[in-house]
Amino acid sequence: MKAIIVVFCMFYLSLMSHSSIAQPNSLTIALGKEPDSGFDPIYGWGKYNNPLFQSSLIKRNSELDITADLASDWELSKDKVTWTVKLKSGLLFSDGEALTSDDIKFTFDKAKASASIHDLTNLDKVIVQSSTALTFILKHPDINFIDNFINIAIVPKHIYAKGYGQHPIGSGPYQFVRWDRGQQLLLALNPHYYGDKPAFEQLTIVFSDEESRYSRLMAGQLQLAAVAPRYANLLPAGFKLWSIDSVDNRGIAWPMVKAKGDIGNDVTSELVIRTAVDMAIDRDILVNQLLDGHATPAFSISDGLPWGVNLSLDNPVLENPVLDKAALNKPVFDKKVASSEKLSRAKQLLDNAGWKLTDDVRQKQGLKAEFSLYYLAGDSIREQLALTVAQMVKPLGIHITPRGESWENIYKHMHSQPVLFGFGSHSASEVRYVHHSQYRGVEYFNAGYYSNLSVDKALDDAQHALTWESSLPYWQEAQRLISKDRPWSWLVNLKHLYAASPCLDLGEPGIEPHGHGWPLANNISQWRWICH
Amino acid sequence: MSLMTKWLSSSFASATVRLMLQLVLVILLAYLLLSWSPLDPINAYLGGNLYSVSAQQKAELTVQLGLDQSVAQQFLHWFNELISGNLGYSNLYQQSVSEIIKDKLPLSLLLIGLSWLASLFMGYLLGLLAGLFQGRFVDRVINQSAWLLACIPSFWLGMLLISLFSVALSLTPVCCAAPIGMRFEEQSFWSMSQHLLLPVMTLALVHMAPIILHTREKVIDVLNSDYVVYSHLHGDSKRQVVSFHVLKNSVLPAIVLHFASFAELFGGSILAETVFNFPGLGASIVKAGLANDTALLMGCTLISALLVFCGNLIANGLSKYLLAGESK
Repeated sequence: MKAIIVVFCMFYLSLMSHSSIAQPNSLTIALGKEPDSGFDPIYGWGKYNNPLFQSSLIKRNSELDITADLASDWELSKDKVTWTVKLKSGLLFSDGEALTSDDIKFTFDKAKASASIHDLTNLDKVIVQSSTALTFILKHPDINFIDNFINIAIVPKHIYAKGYGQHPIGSGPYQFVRWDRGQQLLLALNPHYYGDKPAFEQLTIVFSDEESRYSRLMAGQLQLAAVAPRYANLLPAGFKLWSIDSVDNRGIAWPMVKAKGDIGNDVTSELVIRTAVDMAIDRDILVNQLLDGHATPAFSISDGLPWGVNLSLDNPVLENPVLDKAALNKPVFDKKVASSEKLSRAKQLLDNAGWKLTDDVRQKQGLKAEFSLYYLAGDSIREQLALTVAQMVKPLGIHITPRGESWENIYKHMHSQPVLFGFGSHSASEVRYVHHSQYRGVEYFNAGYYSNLSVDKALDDAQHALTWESSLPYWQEAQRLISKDRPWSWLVNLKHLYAASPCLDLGEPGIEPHGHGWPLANNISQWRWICH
Repeated sequence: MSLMTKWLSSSFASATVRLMLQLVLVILLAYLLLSWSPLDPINAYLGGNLYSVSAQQKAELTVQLGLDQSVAQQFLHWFNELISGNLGYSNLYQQSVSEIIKDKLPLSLLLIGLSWLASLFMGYLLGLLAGLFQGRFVDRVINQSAWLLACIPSFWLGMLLISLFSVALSLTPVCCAAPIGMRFEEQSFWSMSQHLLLPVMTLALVHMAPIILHTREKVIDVLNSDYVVYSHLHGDSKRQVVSFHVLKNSVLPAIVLHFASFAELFGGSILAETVFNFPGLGASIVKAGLANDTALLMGCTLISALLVFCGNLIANGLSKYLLAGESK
């Protein structure tokens, strides 16, 4: 009898212990595209997301504020060309070796010398002061150099060699177990990690295309997957949809100068045309009907970012009566103004400016209000946006011909015809690249040849600020000035969608940059399993 | 057999010379096409993040990647490396090209080899059946299905099979070459065959149509020939006729034809691998092409040219042997 009771108790106990491990210590997920060049920070791994295997000097939190990571202290000198960085003590790589300032110097030197996507052209040299302190000497002042401290994760000097990206070792929350190219990546907790340890001991990251990712999610093989909007609407019950704000924006860049050779466009260089188009675009329809609500209306290149400014559509220039203080503080445009009302106001503007309607097309001194709108062929969202915008401005008498092309072909026309671009970065440098007159016609940056001296000055002041925090008002000032000239018509900020098991809590994910997938792992330490 | 060895020794040298010439032509043509590609390698290198670096950094990238040199210079550099046995370094994968090929080629070869065998076997059997029952219901079904299969593209058939067997019936895995968390060679034989089933079936179905049609014609030919009539007159049963005359005279031509169609199978496997997310060489070729990764693309081109050449060489040899046998 006793034996039976003992056996019974043991059985019961074993059941108990089983139910307590219902909380999985491993997670199988599918995020973004497989990084072709491997997990080597020198070649760009982790520039836009948590590098997982490695960590960097400083990082951004969910609010995008700068916080300590490997570094405990960082300071810019008065002459703004010397950064002094102090490291935390007792830092270890996942193989148990110490992480010192030699590794930091090695990483930055290597990144500067390699053909990489890190831009260290402004870095003069790195000097090691002690094992936990070093200085970075810049060639000229630029507060955005601080982005490199965030974007470049540190690699170990003692084992770094060609092929490091195939089996990385670093100081991040996870350590590398195995990578089967084209299939999966296996990770385990790094026992030497100095920060908040994630709750999941093992992580399997699966790589497959959108379609098989979705079918694997349906088959219950994945606990979390990045999904495209068209799948999000098909998601059956039993999955939770995480819709995460991003600055992954889409907008139209206008040619800003009069036509001269291959550059400029006589129609779009007219402020009144750009304003009328901007007013005729109903962002509510784009967001709610075209994109099924998986987006937010966009008004600037950096909506919702610390260096962004809350703009409303009905602001500026033509003394719009709707503009008031309250509207400035809300990023949504005034719902009270119906779109038909806006349309008639836009028509009024065009009439007053001498653009008369004849045969469906407005004309001014023989110039017809018509142009092409280029977009990247094969990108369904861009295509839909371009077609819809063309329809929305048609009642105004402005004719837009959408044209889908490759980047190489768009490049040939982008100085003389408007282009639908996508931007959105966690670095304020982008605001400068896109709007500063210094970048007129340089690569894809300021394609419309926009130039405004007071904007340039505000952007330069921002760059020459002493701290990142004190640069923010200048960025905002620049963008307020920019919005008056309307060199861009911003359309939407896309939301990034993830389907997850209802048991998985992703904490508070921050606003994501351009690029869907990997940035979700930025707050991986906050992820919890909430079912028991 | 002595004829065979003689043929081998005499043509071995000429085959080598032909292979060399063919490879040089393929390399030159491929390099020329690549240099005409409208894709900007710098954009590809930056992975679409066109705005992430300054113009100055882009200029430095161009120099470091050797893109400031002329096409001829780049080609000569690559060719010199090739002669010393170095296939080059892939900027896309940050790995040496030979390592990538060593990694991926076996899976692709397995897929191609299995589908080659499967399509030969099934195609031949169906063709034989159709020929033997010429004009009957079986023949009409097989014949028309073969014409249908001949015009179906492999990627479309692959998608159909996935939606039927994997999604609707959930009998086979949705994609990939192994279950999550495992390598291809770690899984059980059962799971391995499950993962291979659909890709192999797709390739085999699409590529067996020519074999079916060809074998059918050949079988009908043989059945109408004088020696079969003669054999019938001697009272041989149908089974004897088939095994003595029909099989002997139709198997070898089918094999020759199948070796000659090796190139198509290789092309089809690239599409099938993409559809099934199969981590073979096919996906790498596509990526290398889109990213303008010259070294990787040229390496893959070289390998595929070699494979196709071998297929053709075997087909040639077999057909010569066959002709020699007939003239004997």
